[in-house]
Amino acid sequence: MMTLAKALSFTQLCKTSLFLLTLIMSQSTYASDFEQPKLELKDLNGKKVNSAVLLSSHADMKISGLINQVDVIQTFKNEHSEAVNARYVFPLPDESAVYELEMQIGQRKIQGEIKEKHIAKKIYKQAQKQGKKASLVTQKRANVFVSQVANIPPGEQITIKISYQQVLSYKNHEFSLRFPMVVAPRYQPQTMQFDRDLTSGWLYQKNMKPAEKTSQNEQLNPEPENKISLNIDLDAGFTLADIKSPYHQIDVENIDIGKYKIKLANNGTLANRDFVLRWQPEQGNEIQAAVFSEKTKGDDANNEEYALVMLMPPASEFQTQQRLPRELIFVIDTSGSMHGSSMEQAKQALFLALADLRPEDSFNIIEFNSTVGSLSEHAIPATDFNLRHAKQYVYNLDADGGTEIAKAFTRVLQGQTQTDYLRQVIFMTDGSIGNEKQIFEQINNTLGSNRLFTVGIGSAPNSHFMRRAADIGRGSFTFIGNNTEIRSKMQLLLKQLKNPALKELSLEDENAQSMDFWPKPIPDLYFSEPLMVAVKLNKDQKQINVIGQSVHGEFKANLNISEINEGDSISRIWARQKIKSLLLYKNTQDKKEKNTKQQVLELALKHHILSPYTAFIAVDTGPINEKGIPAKETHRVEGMRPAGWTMASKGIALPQTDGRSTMQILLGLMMLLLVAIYWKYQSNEVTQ
Amino acid sequence: MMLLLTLGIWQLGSGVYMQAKAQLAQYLIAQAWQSNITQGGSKQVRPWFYADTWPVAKLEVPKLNIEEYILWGASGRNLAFGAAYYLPSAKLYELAGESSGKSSLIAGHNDTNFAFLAQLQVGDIYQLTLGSGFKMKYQVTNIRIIHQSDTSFLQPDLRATNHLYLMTCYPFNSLISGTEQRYLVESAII
Repeated sequence: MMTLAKALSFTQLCKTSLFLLTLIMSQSTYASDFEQPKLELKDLNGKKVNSAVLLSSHADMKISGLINQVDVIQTFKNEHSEAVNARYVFPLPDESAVYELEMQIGQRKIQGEIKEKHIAKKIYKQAQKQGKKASLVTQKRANVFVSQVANIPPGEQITIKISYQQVLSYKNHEFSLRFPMVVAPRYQPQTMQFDRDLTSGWLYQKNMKPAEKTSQNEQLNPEPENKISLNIDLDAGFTLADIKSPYHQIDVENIDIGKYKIKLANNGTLANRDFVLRWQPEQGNEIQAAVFSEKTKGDDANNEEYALVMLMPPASEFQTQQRLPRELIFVIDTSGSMHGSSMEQAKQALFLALADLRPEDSFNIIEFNSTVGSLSEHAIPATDFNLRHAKQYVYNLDADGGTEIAKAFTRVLQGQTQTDYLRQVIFMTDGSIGNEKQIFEQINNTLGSNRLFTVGIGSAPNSHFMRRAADIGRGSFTFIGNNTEIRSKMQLLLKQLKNPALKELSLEDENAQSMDFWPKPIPDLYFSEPLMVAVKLNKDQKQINVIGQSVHGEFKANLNISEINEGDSISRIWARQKIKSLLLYKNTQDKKEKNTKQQVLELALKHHILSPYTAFIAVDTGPINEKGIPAKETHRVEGMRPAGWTMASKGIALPQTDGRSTMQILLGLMMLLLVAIYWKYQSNEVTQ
Repeated sequence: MMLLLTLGIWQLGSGVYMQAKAQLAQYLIAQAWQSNITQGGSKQVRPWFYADTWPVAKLEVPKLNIEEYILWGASGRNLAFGAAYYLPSAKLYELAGESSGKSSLIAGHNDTNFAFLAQLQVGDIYQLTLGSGFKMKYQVTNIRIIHQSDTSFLQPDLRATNHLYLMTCYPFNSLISGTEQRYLVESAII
């Protein structure tokens, strides 16, 4: 009894420290769940539904010119005995323009409509209450979307088709596209078979089997049919030297000159990461410029003409003999999230950058976590002595604490600048920040003549944040995914830093009339970066002139508009880019008076694209004759987490229960024993 | 030598701390359990004021003289105090119902609360008492080791019997943290 009382009082004492410890522990466990795509299930009768709704995904891609048009087909199948609603959070590529929703019930197809978000939500809720089948697609962030499907009758399925388009990326004479696969394969049984450890591990795997099959032959099928697939029609327009998919096995079929059909190979590698496809034109056929133009439907008086312009400025435009002295400010994120390999990568990258400095340059290193620290008060010349000192400083950096990115920007951007210096800020972070919008505003308002280059570090950096920060900061974004990439990626960045950029880019027609182009302003172009602009053509325009300022004076390129086909994909890109620019610069001084929300809403409605203020809604008007519909109550149930959704991130798997206390006690005792033996031995020697 | 001494004390200290935390918390949890029972058994009595969990069941293994309280929600924080019920799995009281392949999961640390799992053998019998006073007797039917992402055992299978699973990390006394294997004790109601 005494021990019990003692123990209790001791526990009281321990409480505060326990509290702190557990707080830290719980935060680290929950942090990994943030914003991860997940399937949340709701049972209309308030019952717990764990695996009632099954999702299979399929993607069809059509690549033509610079645009990739994708149909993502999500099939929600309800295997529960009650009707349910399903809600699904999924990623799409950055800056993708979602422009169509189609709901399929049996043979019927219902076209979705674009509506103002709050109206669409109201319609959806009403339909849900009335027991109608409905689907709603909204944009959560620029690259995260939510689809909701209401009233899936028991045993039936509802399919929705979401169409989006993206502009291809062209860098280093190579086209590439990225499709976030990470969500889909979780539900994809076939891919689970590759890793022996995981063969039976995927929660939704067994449920993927069609219900009819199980009922027909009472036998469990050990190899569920593969419901996800990826089909790509690539119309490159030129012969390709190479098509690669670095992370997946693909089957490529060359059906015509410049035309290819690509499929995921059936026995492919584990599809647990983003799908990436890269292709290169044949040697000597490197693309220098491209113009694609389209006119919208309607008679000649009403239709609008749009063009998509890509231009790769010749390397000579960036090269120069005389160099402005530079002031390089390296800002390195030493917050807790960088701990481990990210920090090591950042340090390596920093060492490479330091080695590249010339004596006439000056530099400084700033680290930030909860507080901001720096190598020196002001930038110092890159002398041997200073560089050695800097290397020591970098070597001793340690990742710990919070991410007070705003403080770092305040320190960096409000520092005094010497006008005859080219001031470049190289910002290395994993970008795990909450208040993105404020940071964008801060950069925009305090940038001055600084140029901001962001370097994304680690396996899952917030690339959306860093790409936009670089856009506003008029620099470039470099992504370092793993150790093997550090050298090559940093070399490209250092080359970009050394060579002056192509600035003040704009477009005009042959009569020097200005044009309505987006993004606006066009980000400065650095070495090996292409210009990619969507533009609304003036009446009867025949030529697009790109003008800008290079180190040699004025840069000018004339591009001819050839044939104009009917279509609206380019107009959508134009609208998407305009929305992006409007939102990005919405709170700056000169734009404050305009009503951004209204502008974005009008654009999105006119061009039928998803935006923060619009949503796609489809409601079935067919008869309601299923049982259990409509339900009185919608109970939100947390679906069981799909297992092993990424092999890299822990926290989704079964609870971690390995305590090491016994081993720690043993180890501790052993060490103490060693110390005791040592002292005994010492004192023995003394007495002898 | 001083380094070794400090390291030794640190290791010993953190080890003892973990053990003490798990042991001492059980006293407070036991109090909460008692208070819940006197209040009718349906309350969520928190063992300490900032706790975000409460005892939902008592596990007794007569053969090993074990008595453990099971907490609500197997988060990392709760697991440091005691074994805990994994929320996404089937409700504990449902296991007593008709056989419809329901599975519940209780997890605990392999050095403290659930260290005894290593000594459990197929055929052993233990008892689970719910807050309502409802008692269930279980017999261990199978013991196996799985990967941490293998949650297939939790899937309802209409033809199977209900199962209660006790789980901890494997291997026991591992020097490496974050092991990927789990020691899974499968048991059926008798």
